[in-house]
Amino acid sequence: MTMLSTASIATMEQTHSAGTTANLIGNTTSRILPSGIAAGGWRDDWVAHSAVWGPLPAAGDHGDLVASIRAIELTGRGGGHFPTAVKLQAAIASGPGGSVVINAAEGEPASGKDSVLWQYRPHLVLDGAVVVAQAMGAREIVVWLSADAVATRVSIEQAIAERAPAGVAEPVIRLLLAPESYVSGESSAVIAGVRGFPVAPTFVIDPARPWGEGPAILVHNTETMARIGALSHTGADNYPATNVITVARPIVSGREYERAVLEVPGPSTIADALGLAGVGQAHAILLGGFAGSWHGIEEASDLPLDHQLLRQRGLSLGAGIIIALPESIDVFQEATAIADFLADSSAGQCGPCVFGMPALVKSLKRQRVSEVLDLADVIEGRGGCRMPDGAIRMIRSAIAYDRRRSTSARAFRREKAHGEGEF
Amino acid sequence: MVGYRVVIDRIACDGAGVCAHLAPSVISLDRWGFPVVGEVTEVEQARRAVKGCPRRAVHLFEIAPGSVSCAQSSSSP
Repeated sequence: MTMLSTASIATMEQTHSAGTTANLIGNTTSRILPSGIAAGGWRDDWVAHSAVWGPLPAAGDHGDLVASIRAIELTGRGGGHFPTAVKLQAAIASGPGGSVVINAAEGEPASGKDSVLWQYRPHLVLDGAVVVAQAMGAREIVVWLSADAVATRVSIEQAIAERAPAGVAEPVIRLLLAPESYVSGESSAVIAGVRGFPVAPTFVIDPARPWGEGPAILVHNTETMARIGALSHTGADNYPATNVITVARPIVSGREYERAVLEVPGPSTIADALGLAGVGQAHAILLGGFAGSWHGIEEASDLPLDHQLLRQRGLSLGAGIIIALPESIDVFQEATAIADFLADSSAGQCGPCVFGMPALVKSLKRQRVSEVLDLADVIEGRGGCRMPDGAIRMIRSAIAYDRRRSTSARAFRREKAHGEGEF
Repeated sequence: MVGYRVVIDRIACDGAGVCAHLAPSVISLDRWGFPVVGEVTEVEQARRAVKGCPRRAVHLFEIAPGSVSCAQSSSSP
């Protein structure tokens, strides 16, 4: 965390007393928080939370929650960006007695936003779950947390304890610990885990109703839930349309990242986020995290940090992750390391993933580009979950990036060395 | 005109390869022996694959205009 902690603390102290409710994490237009540690920022306990956001509207007084979620065009911030209103509507239609699950299994090593939200604004996240549970008539709220997220767990347990004496009328909240794995956060795997089955992706026919028949098990990402929480306090007109971004820099490529979590106002660019995070020397970025797309720093600087605007360009903000590469790390090298991590993360259930991902990584390590592209075509669309497709998107993008740089000696040598000079 | 779509439950599938034998115009096998699904040109073949799969991993869906509904599936867990 050395890159960021000094700047973070300064920003925090400077802005603590600004006193509006315009943001999720804090109360100014931008903020830097070091992730993974509880020191350096502040945590809103129940009293502080109530002072900032006020009481939740009484149950049955949320207006039409689905309509207001649709009005702010909220999409799933776990990375899938599925329309939140569609999922909620399907959950309500499935009848009462279901479960609301807050997905805090932040399995991607480059992500830190969900743990930061839990550590600093736990009650905003829980408020979101409460209004969703009330709209559905759910019988419980489940927090699905990675077993190794100790600091986050402490904050969640404290928050649950803080709410009890406040006498808030809400369903029982229970904490479930997920295996420490990338696929533990995949929503069908979460549903399996909540049902008491082994935690692995399952076959889903309708993505709007991944729980199948019966009362819903509705899974929303932590940030998505915090946004519903904020919306329930502010209404659609005053809703804080910010973006919570993790800027990450590799410590061990594909495995361990130095992270800064920022909250930026709607009309921000990638250059703004990199500037706030203090990433001076990046030559390229991976936008959207491990399933994202590679861009040279000069191509990316002006890109908007807004999912809808990025989607118009065929890009995605994913789970709000920007990996910034220093000069010492090559895009192809980082892409290979990430693919290696993803191959290792396979739940081992589907043939095209079990056999395809290791083959893909082997070809990447040998830098055989045409072999990689052939394998990508074979594997694409044939996993039980979306993990292989995300890996393939990221790898193809790394190759496309290299080709845009085809004048660079490195990329030229790489392709020539294997007689694959089809630029 | 009703269209059909074959969907493989990749998690149930263990690559026995029976489907490709029963529905050669619809399903082929990749280099590891797992099904690759093409256009459903022969519905009867696809139905045979649904019935014949030892893992009940082959599903046949009817594509109605504007919606996708389950026309016939090998299992309902």
